[in-house]
Amino acid sequence: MPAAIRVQDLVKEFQRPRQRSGFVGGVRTLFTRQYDSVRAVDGVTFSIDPGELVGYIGPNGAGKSTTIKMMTGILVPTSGTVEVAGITPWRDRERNALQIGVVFGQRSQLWWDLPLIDSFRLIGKLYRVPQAQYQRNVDRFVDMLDMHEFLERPVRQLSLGQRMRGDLAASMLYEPRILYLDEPTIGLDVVAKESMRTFIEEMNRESGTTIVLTTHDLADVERLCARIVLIDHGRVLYDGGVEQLKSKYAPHRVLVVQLGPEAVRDGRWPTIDDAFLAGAEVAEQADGVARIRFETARTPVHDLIAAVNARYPVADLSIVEPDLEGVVRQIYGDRVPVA
Amino acid sequence: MTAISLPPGSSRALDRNFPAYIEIVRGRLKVAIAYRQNSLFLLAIVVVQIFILKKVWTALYAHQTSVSGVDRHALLVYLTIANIQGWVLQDPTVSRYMYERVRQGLVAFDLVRPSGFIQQMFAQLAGSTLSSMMFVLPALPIIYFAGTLGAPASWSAAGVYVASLACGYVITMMLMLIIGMIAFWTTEILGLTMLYRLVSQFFAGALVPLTFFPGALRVLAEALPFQSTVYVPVAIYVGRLHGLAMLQAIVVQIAWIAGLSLAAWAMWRRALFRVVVQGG
Repeated sequence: MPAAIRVQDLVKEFQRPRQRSGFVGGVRTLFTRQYDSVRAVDGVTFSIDPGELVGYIGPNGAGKSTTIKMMTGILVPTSGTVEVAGITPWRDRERNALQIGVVFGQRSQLWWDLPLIDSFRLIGKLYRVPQAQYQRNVDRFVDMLDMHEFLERPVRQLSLGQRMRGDLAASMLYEPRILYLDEPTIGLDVVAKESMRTFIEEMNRESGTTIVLTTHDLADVERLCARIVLIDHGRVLYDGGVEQLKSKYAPHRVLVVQLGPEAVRDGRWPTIDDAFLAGAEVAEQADGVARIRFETARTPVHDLIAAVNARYPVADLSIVEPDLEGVVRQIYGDRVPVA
Repeated sequence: MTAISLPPGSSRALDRNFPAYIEIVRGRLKVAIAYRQNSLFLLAIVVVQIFILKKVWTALYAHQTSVSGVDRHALLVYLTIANIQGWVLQDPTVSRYMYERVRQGLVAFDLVRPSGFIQQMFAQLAGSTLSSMMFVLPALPIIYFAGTLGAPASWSAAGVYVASLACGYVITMMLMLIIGMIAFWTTEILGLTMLYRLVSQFFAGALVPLTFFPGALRVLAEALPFQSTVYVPVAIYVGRLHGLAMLQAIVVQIAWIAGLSLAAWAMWRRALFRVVVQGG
């Protein structure tokens, strides 16, 4: 099966005029311009199969948006190749345009002064969607994203959540094979986020749309993506399954133990000693609650629980799985700062 | 650097999407209706301007019926029509729209659409002209009293006027497009559009017909494209331009269309290159 998106050794360098400080510096900048070259994307390679839903994540300034702009054909790379369903996006802009949908969370493609439905109609015409198909999609999306109430309202009067739902629907009206979502849930409340996520999930599952999702909300990624590509300083740090990432970077689980009141001796809680808990260590404990870190690969959960139970009266037990956010925080935290 | 295929419009089959252009024109009309106070306010300004010009010129003509070979009635008709026409054809909202799209980075969306940016802008311009016309028609009785409306010099003058007006319209569109595209470099064009409006109105002969311009100014005005947008068609209408001079003026209009189209095209290539290579 040929890849839906193939990105090979992609590099993008920007030339930025060097700013000098102060008035004299400002005047000098006018005459002698020096440029600093900044590598926003530095040799990125990955490939996405048709029907995949991939999270493309990284900290601010990692080069995510620049990569998306090259994949959509807005920017031309300094070197490297991109192929989207066999087309080089910036060479054949208009043919590429027909097969991709784009949502930029911070910007809107809707007609600001006109009712939402008018933007839909214009997009239907721009992409030459046959009338029957157009109507079917509008009806379906209006239902899915619950847009009945504000369909006839000018976009400038919509709330952010309503506008984003409109933007998402607009990008799928012509049923593109590939959908790029650049921070689609930014600034949305829980309910709006959930309805966006459900929609994205359904587009991927039912219509087989290949989706590349950029976001800072890792709950989006955990909910939607099986695979993530993590980049920083313009390079790919990790490319693979979300679960594998967790087990690679966060092999630890935490067993939270709440001791029973009968454990109290002379008004003091006993101290849990980790010497006999093979492979596990007590991360913190206070007031009868202990957090025990362990690696599932080395210490089976039931052995650990049995060991704790054998020595202390236990009132409650729970296991905390690592979340993606903790993992990513750890990866970002480890990264080498670039001077 | 990779080779870049520019400008968009490379896949010809996708170029002419009239249903989409009609939708854009419709959208523009709806926006104009939504913001009708603005349009009515501008129209009121134009009517007042026509009224003042009429008063001033009537005073100048107090003791003679003809100045430099231009008779009073023809002059008043000229000023009235020139000002209405200038208002209908030169709606600044589209340059402002373009500038806003560039400034907010929304051109990114225009570049990922299957219809070229320029084609979309032309549809926007056509829509705004239509909406201005929509406001002018009901205002004609008021304009009749504020200014002086009169029939064209002859049937043939009327016919040539329409052709010359069409040429003038294309020139205006090209100039607006060029002004709007400057936003790709400066990201700030509001001052420039105001200056442009003033200069173009003056050199187009909307305030004073070119006939009255003194030597050097006249030469300058004739070297600029603005006279082709207002002075030429309206002078044909009132019969001031006729015969060989009229034909010559139309040839000049056509030359301007060709020259400005080339300039706009070259500029668009560079503008796109800027977005595409340096980032929005």
